[in-house]
Amino acid sequence: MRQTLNAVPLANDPATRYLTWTVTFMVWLATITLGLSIIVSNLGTKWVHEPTDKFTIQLNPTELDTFDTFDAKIKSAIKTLLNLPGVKSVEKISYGQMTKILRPLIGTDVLPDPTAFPLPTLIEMQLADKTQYPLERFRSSIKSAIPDAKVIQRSNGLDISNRIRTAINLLTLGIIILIFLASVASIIFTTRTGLMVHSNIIELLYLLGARNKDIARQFSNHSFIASLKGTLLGWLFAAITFLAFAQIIEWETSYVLAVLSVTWLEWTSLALIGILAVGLSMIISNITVREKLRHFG
Amino acid sequence: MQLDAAVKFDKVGIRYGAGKEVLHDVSFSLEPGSFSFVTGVSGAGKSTLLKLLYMAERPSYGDVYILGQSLAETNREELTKLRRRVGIVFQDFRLLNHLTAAENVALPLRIAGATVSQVRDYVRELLDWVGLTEQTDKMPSSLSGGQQQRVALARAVVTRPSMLLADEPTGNIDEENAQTIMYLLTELNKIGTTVIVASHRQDLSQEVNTNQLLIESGSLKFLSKSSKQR
Repeated sequence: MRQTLNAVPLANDPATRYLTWTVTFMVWLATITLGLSIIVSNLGTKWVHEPTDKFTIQLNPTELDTFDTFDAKIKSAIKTLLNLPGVKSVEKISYGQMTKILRPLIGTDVLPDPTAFPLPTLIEMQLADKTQYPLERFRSSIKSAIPDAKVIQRSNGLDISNRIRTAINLLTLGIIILIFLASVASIIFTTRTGLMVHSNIIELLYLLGARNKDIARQFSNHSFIASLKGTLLGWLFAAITFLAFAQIIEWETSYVLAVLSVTWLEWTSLALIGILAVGLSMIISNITVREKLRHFG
Repeated sequence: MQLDAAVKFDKVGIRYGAGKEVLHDVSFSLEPGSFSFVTGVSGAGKSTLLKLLYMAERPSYGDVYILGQSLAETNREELTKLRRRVGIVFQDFRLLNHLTAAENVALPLRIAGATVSQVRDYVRELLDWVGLTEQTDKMPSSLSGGQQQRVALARAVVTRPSMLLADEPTGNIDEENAQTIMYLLTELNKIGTTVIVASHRQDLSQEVNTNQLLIESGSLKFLSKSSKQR
């Protein structure tokens, strides 16, 4: 077995010693950027596909309806809804609440007089246990009991449109490219500084018969170890960041579900950041040394 | 193949930048297995001559032949191989302070790609030879000047070089250590190593059968030739 040459004390000099922390920061930043992008993307999917145990029933007055006849229809609908099995509560949204919702959209002046012409009415209905009653069957029950009603299945949030999702992905890609470029510049700077700091040792190695690749290998070996440590620390800090964020939002179910639904391909892309950091660090430092020493010795 | 000359300078001159010539039109050759002393006052050009010999510099004109190879015609890969055949003892030792005595001696072997057992055996043998068996794991900073010079000598010869260059090997050490170093250099010469010593002390050369070369103001002349050289 051959002994590896390890004569340049890169681990001890001020410039290259911070390579680990540089890589840690870059991997942390890239991981949380990509991780948040994946989570936000998954949250959008969850918002669309995860209905709640609440229904909103909308009753619209017809042209023939007077205030009294429409009021009677509402009361009848509430009674019907309360009689359905599995219903926990039924509540009509008051005129006050309705105007509060509509005011920012249409202004105060145009709100109609409720006694002159009835507004569409919204009835909030909550199920006792959504696991006992399939939501789709419940929806059908309401429709058959009150044919005029419009049933709105409430979701946990808003859908993120594909356009927004694409924008988030492009923004993530842009940030990761910037992190990548900053990392490359940082590794080149660190390596060049290391070459200057240890120029007397490198000259000695030359005179003892070392080749450029022998010296470059020492730098790339150092970069490998430093960036491997940096990557592991970066991942650790990223995990802590996501946990801290989960703690801040009190383990919001949709966030946890979004994290749990990260696919293996997405996990792979997160792992690739670290692998890329280690490989990049080795290759860049090796090329930098060879390029710098090309005309030396 | 039998070498005609271990070292040959053919009308060599060197100048740094636009400055005056440090060496001017120097021509000489040294027999393989010879022991040569290069003397001269400080600033005469001894160190520059040695730098040409250990291939840290290239001549501004003329050509230098080391172990039969022309430096002008040597490419980078060949230069590296040639350097491995030449041992160097520097005036300021140039030991790496973060490595132990043994690790310093092992350096040329590691560069040459020696195996772990080769490194272990050769290093032990060389440290025994220079009388530093007990100092194997000591750092250079904890060794005396004479001991550091012996570590530097062990490092220079651990790869069994064909030629050994020593720049003021007795310059920074006491008389007793200087005698030990001279004895070790003579022993190396006896087994066929070409030895070239640059020193301002002419008295050291009296005790061995040597070539004596004097550098004065960038020019070189033979003061005396050894029996081998004649």
